[in-house]
Amino acid sequence: MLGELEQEGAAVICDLEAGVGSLLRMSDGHVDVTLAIVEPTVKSIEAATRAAAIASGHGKVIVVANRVRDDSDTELIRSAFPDHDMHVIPYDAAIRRADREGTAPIDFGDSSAGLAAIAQLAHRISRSDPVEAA
Amino acid sequence: MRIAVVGKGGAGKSVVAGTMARLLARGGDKVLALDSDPIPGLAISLGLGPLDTPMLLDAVEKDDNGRWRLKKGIGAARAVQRYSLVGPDGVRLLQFGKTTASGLKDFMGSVNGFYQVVHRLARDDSLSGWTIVGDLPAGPRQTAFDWVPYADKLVLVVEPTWQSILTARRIARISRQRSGVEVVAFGNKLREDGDTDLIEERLGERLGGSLPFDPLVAEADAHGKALIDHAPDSPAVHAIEHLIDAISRRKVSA
Repeated sequence: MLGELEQEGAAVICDLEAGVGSLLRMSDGHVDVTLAIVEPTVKSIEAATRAAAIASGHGKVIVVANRVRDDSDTELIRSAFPDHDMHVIPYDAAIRRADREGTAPIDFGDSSAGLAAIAQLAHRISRSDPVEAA
Repeated sequence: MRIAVVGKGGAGKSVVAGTMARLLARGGDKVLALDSDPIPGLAISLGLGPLDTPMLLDAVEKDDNGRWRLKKGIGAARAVQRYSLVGPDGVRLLQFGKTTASGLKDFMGSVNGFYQVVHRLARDDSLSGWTIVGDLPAGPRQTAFDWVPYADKLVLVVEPTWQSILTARRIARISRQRSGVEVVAFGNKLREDGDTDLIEERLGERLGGSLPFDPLVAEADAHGKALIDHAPDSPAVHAIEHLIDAISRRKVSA
């Protein structure tokens, strides 16, 4: 379905299930860019490493380091993905609270560092050709 | 006692399953830990580190129709005895393998063999004295597709977020379609007053135990260590001991 949705001026964002099941069923040309979301834990890095390897066959991959609390978290993830473009989203209690309330983070508050980092990522991807922008 | 641990991604299933397995083994149980998640998790939480091995490749063969089957003479007990890995505290781990860049296709025999083993576990008399702790992948899919026919107790790990609670509700509903399964909800990463009420109200059932957010769990995860090795006296380990007390109706906590 992803391959049929593309049209001028439209952006399609697909939130895949945990793991790599859906990613494995994807074909070339279905996506322009894959965001591999990774937390600073060994398990998450293990999963994202596999996801990034699979997704790299389909186009650009950006590793998104999420819930990052300090430099050592960034470094842990950076060292696992030395050759990938990386974008950091800091740990943000406002996003956790939004999840707790069942509210979209973007509607929850406007002073969120996490949200600002996500906006930056969106801008980075959309401002031009995603491959160039990344 | 045969337990399966389920919930949404990131809820803490592997930490709960791995720590339960270790605690039960320390209490004298013969414990088999089953990992049916194609993404690494349980081996790390057991203290074995990342482990990809497709353990049942040698246990299977193809039949005349090209379908995988367990080799003659290999039942559940023999598969456990021959192909599982003995980990810390004597916990035996059986897993079908972990996804690589080419998916599962290189070890589909192990995946099929694993599915057949889990369907024979509860019927194999020589395993009747064993305690089983199964760690499932995120979401309701394996529960729906009968990957846990062995379980008499389902531990539903739930965080105080809408997404986690909705997933847990679905899994609970699917599980209860099978008779003889006791579903126990376990609240994880509770941070503030009202989190227990929030989960119980939205889930529609009482929690059988809960675990306040514990930075030592995050620390163990960051280092890829088993919680019970990294912080044996942590509030999280004690909360999991109490969960075992509650579901087994016996006491493993101090």
